Amino acid sequence: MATLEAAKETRGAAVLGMGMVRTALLGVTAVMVAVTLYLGLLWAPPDAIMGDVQRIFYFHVPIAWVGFLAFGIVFVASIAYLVKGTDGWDHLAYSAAEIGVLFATLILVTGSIWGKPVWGVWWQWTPQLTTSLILWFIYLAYLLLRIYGPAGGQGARYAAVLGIIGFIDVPIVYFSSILWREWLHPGKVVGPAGGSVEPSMMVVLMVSLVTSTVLFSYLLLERYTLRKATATVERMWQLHG
Amino acid sequence: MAPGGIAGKRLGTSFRRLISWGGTIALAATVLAGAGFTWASPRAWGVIGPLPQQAPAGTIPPGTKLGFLFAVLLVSWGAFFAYSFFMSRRQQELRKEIEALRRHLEARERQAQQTQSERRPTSGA
Amino acid sequence: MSAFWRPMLAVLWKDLMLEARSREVVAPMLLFALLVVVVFTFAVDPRPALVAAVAPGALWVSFTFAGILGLTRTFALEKEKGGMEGLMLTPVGRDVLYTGKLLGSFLFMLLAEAVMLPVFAALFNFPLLVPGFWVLLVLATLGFAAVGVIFSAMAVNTRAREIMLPVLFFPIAVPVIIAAVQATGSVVRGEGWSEYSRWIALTSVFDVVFLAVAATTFGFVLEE
Repeated sequence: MATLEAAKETRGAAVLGMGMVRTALLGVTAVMVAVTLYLGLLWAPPDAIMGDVQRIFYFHVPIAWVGFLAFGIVFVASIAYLVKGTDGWDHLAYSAAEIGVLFATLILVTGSIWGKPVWGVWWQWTPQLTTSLILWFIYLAYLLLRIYGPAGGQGARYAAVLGIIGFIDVPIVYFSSILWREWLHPGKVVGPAGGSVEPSMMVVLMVSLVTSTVLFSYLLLERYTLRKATATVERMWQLHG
Repeated sequence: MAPGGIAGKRLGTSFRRLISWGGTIALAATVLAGAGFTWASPRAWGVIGPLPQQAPAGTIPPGTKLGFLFAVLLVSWGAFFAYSFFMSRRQQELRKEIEALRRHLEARERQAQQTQSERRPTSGA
Repeated sequence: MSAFWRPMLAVLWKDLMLEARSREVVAPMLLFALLVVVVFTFAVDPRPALVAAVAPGALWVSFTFAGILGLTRTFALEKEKGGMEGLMLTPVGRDVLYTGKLLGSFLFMLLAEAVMLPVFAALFNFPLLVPGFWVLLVLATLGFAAVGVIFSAMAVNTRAREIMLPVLFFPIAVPVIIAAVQATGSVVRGEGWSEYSRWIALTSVFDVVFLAVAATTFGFVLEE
């Protein structure tokens, strides 16, 4: 009878995200995305110098924020996994890292598309882009380590250690690339030129930041559920297969 | 070597260490990162381009360089839907696997009951 | 305190003896570093005017690549000969093992770099007698070893381990590489301490942070 109960448990664990939370989150995400698209593309005024192309900002900045948030979650979940040793934290760290790499890729691509009309070149070694590029490399290595690393707890611990080291490296990379830029192009890296951002533009940016966070939470929940269920099914095969 | 012997004890000390000064470092790094972000974000406007300002009506022809904007939208939403598609396919595969596992377990359960009921008459005879 | 130093020095001594007998780490590192420099020279055409611009890059590309080679060997021998289990059985903290292995790698890298420097000085007309540069060299090498040892311990247990170590190591070491190259460029141009002290400060921060983090987490990497 134990095996049948196991099967039931598996099915229970793998009813993939059909819960209320998921549905609610999906609904909220859809509404917020529609609102943000309207605000960013139609409602916000065009920029004085860049015109409509400045609207890229309402997509690029939230993507960047979500990327960093994802890697922050990898960091916290990695520490929690090393301290507690429960698989849930490991699944969370992995899911966040995978989504983080997706968004880091988008940071680089949308950053380049922003750069071409605004700077005239596809790529500039701004501290932000440099840091994003290094982040992208670090977390691609993280995913590679998951693929090539040892199975089970050891591989998870390796990944957790990299998740901690990688995130602590981020501010150091950022500061070093700021110093580097000042060295190469003195005076090019400057603070705000004075004045303030148009309030309506700021509002749209804030709304889009919230939307991207909600969208990210939805993706993370989906990915986490999927990974947890996959792990459960694998364990069941090992136990009763 | 027994698991949880010396290794377990050593792991114990590293737990404590992690909570004491490792944890402090982690916390400090997080605070530093947060401070770095807040410090950097206003500068981001100045670095990646001029500060956005509302255009007086009619100064910039609407639709200038719109292709870049649509490229951003296309790439972002393309990536998002591709990822969602990848996840939903994995979910379907997983459902199939769960079904296979269930059938496998039920077949085994039936087999076990059958052998049990077959054995009983022979032991009785 | 001797509970830390005695076993740590024993681990270090073991690695030094092993290297003295087998000569498997420093000599290949040296040869490789030299090869990288020669290839670099062919790649960039070292006219005197270009030397100042090229020398720092050539120096640190050569050192980091040779360093990676040395780090690959750090745990390869332990893995092949079952030395890892022996180390694991010793009743000492994992941070002790980490520090011992770290100092071993650090010394091997420094040794290779010390032999390479006169060669650089000859090839690139590089000013050697700058104390600030030595400080930088030691700190940057320590930084490489600090993250390199822990990644080496991971990579040795992965498939495709020769690929995994550089893939793990280089992105994390980027701040040190930037700092080292920029400060060396400053030295080559004959600038003063105030021009490159910021890079030394950055490298020191990197060293302190990652020595602490790596010593803390090394135990989790070693456990099977």
